[in-house]
Amino acid sequence: MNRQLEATKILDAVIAGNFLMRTHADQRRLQRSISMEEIARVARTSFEWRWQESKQTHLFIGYRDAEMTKGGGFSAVMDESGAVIVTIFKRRLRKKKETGK
Amino acid sequence: MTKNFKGILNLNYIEIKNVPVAKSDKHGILVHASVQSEMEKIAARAILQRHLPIRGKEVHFFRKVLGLSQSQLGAEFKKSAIMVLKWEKKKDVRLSLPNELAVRAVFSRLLGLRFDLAEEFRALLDAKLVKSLVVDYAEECAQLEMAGVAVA
Repeated sequence: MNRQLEATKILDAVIAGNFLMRTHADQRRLQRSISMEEIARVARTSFEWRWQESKQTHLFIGYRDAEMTKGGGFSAVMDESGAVIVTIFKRRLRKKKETGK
Repeated sequence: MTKNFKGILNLNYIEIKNVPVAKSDKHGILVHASVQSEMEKIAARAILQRHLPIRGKEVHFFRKVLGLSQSQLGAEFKKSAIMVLKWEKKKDVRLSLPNELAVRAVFSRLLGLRFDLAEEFRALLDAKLVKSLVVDYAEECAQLEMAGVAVA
């Protein structure tokens, strides 16, 4: 399957709440205090997507909060059991530099 | 297949038993997202129903489970986000009784629980911190289904 199409399907599944999580991802989620609501929000506001060749996973980065100030991300794969989240993390977002005038 | 989970978000004293999981050859044990969300809500309901004291970390937990921002939660009390921030900053400090009652009333409403002010007041006077809170996922889901609430 086309990687981009796969990424779209993963995002759709995560937004709809129809996905699976590895126990590793769940442990990381609990450790990092990220709620399920925040994962869905990261998917909804996702502004960066990358296919990680070395890990064979899709990486998504978005915002965790309604104010769009806190970043977060997750890596996921699409297989026969559906969208599976491999890991979840918080991401500090760099402030956009002021461009002169 | 079921599994027990210890600790939910920032609350390490909660243990949820008999959570349905699936096994995959490639990924190991998998948990469905709807089950995860339900686990968080079950834990939140258990805290309110068992009249456990509300501290900063519990306020943070409830807010995260319901997906509210600090300003959205503050608006529920007609207060600013700073008020919520102050509560959450003091992780292990219990809220004052009037604030705790207000927080309980708001979260009970948002989680679809019954709230009786007189009953809550009496229960909160004797409320004590617990070392562990064990909740059975299957039992809670069965109770919710009996009450007519859709569960994952």
